[in-house]
Amino acid sequence: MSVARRILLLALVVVAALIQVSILDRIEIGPANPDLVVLVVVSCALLVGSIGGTITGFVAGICLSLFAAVPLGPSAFLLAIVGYWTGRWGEVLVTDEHPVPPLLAGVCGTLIVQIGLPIVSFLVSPSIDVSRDIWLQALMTTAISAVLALPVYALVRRAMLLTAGERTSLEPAAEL
Amino acid sequence: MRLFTPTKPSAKTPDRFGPQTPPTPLERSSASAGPAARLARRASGQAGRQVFPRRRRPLPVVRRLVLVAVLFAALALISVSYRGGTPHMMRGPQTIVLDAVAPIERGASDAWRPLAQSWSWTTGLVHARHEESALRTRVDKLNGEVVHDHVLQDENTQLQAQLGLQKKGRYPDDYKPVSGNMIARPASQLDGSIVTDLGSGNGVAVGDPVMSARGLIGRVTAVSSNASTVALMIEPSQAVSATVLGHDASGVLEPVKNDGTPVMQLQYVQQSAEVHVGNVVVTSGWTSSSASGVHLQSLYPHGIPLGVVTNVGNDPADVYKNVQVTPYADFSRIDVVTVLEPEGAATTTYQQPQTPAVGAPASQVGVPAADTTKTHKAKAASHAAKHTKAAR
Repeated sequence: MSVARRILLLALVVVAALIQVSILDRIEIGPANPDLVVLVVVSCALLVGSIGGTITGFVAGICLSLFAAVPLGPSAFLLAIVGYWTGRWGEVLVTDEHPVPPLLAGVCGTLIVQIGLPIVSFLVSPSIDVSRDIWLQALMTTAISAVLALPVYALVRRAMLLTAGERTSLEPAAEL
Repeated sequence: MRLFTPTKPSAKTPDRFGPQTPPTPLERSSASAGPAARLARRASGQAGRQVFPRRRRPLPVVRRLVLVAVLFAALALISVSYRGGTPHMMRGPQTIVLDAVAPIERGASDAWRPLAQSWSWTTGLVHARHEESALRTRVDKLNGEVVHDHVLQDENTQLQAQLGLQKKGRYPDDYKPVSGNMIARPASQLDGSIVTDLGSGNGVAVGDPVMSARGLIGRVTAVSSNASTVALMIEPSQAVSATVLGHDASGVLEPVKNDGTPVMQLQYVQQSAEVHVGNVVVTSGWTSSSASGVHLQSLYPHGIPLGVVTNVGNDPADVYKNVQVTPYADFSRIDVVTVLEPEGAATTTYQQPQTPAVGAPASQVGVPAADTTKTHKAKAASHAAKHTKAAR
């Protein structure tokens, strides 16, 4: 992966985390909020593969915790797992234009994070109140992610294609 | 359209770079991006499908090593952040980053505020019709009470003038209110904290009480130069010593539900205490003195509105009365916050939480989990110095 692409990935997750804590967490749709960070992580992971996805997820989780002033770790752990598995899935795809992979990845990733975060938080700090409404929030957030997954993926893909001219790891285009 | 590559690479594929797996979509599209490639694909009837070059891919062992390393780092961060079973912020790095991004968060928050208020106004219309009739009835009732209050206020003013007392303002005496905005809040409802744009540059210190327009919302738990973290009182680890206005009932207010519409419980209220639905609950603002001469007082001053009693359970089998309180503050829509800065308190110390003895009266419950205390030795010393100077 080129340096430009790494910088772009970092910029994407930083901006997504800032938008998440400053704006999106204030938009309440029922009991839930849109989760942009997960969608950006799965979009990046689908496009760059498992290693890039793992690191992108980890960095996104750290940014999210730093900007929201909450304990580091749980978000980074879950987003790294989501990034890895989404990246593995992206590695076996033959196209990046079909709408089903980003849609499924966005829904599954959001569901994993929304369900995993209460579980991880409860395991490390049993005093945390995990009520039924958190599960309702998880389902609602997943539904919102299903709506937002494709537009976010399209934006991330367009941004990532800005660095598409660099083919350091690719064979010459003439082999096409 | 076929979505997946075969699980095993073709035997005809040249393996020039060692073990090979199919390339990622971006790398494939980056090689086939551009108008010419797209036109070529469309002309050949392959729109939406791309033919990609093979590339060097990391070995599976490298991929797994990266995953294990990253997960290990995340677990290490978790163990550092949750040492002792309670969440902590990593003071150094998190404070530095929070300081750096606070202006950006403030800008984004300010830019978004008009749109957020429009959204809030629009969603509020849905409930407006249902609330209208109830509010009309309440307005009629309150109009009568206002007249009665005016009479009492006049009487109170006259009595205060006779006693030489100062008229109290909206905020407690000896506290300076500083207002600011919430600039960030965590995505998860598990994290009962917010970030404000008030920092040590505004005089904010750890432990300061924080109010919204309606009442107490929490206390400052971490401060950087231009931002601070506020732990909301609906967080399970928080507790506030509280009293019921107009009745001899006091206890510790703790959250029992944290789902956006929180209900809190006033713990350790004696069965003999008289509490009714609709009673107002405020901070008790207790003080105590030890034999060594150290004066301790509650972090929260007396009289900050907390909420209203919504249910009173009178089960005689219980040692204490079950008093449910709905907070005044709307924790899902916090925007402007006011930090109460103590004036003149030179040092602040924190007392460890004490577990109340079963059957102990509410007044002897001790220090609530988050209702930290401060010593006023320095304040007393400075007052003594002032008096000495005045005497000279």
